[in-house]
Amino acid sequence: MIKILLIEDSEDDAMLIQREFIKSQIVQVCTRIETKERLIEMLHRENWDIVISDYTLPQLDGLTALHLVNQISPGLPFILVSGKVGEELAVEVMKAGADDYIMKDNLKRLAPAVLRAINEAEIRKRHQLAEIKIRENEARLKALFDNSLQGILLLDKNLKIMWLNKVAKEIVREFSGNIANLGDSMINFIYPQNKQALTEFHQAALQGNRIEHDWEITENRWFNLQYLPLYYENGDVFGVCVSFMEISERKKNELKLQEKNETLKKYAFITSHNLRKPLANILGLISLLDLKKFPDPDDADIICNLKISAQELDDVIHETNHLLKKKDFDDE
Amino acid sequence: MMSKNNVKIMLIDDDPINNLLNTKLLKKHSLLFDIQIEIIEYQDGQSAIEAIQSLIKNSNVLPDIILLDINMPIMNGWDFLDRYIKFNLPITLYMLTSSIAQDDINKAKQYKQIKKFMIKPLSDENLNTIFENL
Repeated sequence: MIKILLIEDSEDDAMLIQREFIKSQIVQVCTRIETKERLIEMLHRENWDIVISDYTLPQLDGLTALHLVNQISPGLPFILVSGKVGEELAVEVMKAGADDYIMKDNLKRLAPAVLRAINEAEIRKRHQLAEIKIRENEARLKALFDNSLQGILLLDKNLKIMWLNKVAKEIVREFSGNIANLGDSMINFIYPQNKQALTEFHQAALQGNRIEHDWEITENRWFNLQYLPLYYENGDVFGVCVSFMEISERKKNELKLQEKNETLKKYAFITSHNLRKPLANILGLISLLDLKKFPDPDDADIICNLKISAQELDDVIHETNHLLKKKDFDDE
Repeated sequence: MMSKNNVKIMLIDDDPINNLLNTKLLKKHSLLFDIQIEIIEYQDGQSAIEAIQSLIKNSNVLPDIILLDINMPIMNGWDFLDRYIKFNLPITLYMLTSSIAQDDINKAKQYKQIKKFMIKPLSDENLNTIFENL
């Protein structure tokens, strides 16, 4: 059912208009008004499918009505019906945003014009909604990428920047001093010593490989980089996504840990070499002692205990060495 | 068991106490095998390699056995070995070290010239090995 807001001061004309709909078997409900105030009220109060307006009313003219409709209910179809629409006026009304104009002596055009106007308005509305949705999606994606802690960079096959997020832009600017724009070659923002590596990893990703590596871009500034191939729906690669994140802090800790490991290694070395050396001598020398040459049982006892203690010390050194070996603190 | 009555043993170790100890242990044990031994000492790899070179040059009697330490000043046991293997001598060589480090044990396995990796002090078992493999 079509809801029509009819702006018409003549009841007879209103009847004629409604008859056209009945003839065309269009189910509609028509509300007739005559004044500007009623128009404003009705537009605010209800949802309409179309406004049909006479051009000249005692208290309102068609153009004013059209402007009000556009202002209050943008997108609502508007058709002008008049007894005496000159060509100039018709053009003016159409320019102002009316969907159509109909002569009162040619009312048989009205029903199809109304249907078409409603249909077109529907299509326009759908397009608008779709566009809004696309824009919303874009905004959401942009927000997502720009709020990512990772720098994200999309490169085409020739290392040209297809897209980059805020973080990527900031990092590129920090290191190169330049602002990266879409279409720029990434090579221009890279330190000379890193160019070959970028080209190689980019090429490898274009071959379909996923690559991850830690890279010291400049002294003590470490980044974790991931190269991912970008595919068309048919499976062809069209570029590479490079996502990256600074990991300098983590690397610093790793280096600290390595230093600690070095100390441990030194400790293990000292234990197994330097500490054991004099002990091996003690053990050997004790074994050379001939207990028969010590008639005093106390002396023999002391020598026995000396041997036991030295052996215990050697056991501890062996254990320590074994522990360090087992803990696998050394990755090499 | 091959018998040889006069055996020349070269000790390569920077620790004089250890050399004294090994000399005593070897002498004591040699009596069990009824073997006369002669011991020569070098305190680093460099002087040992020079001594071997000079023995070869003068066609003198080479040692039958070498007991080699790892950690020494000037030239350590490994560097000595790398020079020594080039002479391709018929000498039985034992690594004798206080080290119990796995790295050293693994490294020793790479040298086929090392008859055995022995850990100090010389045990009766290792002394037997030395005198039984003449």
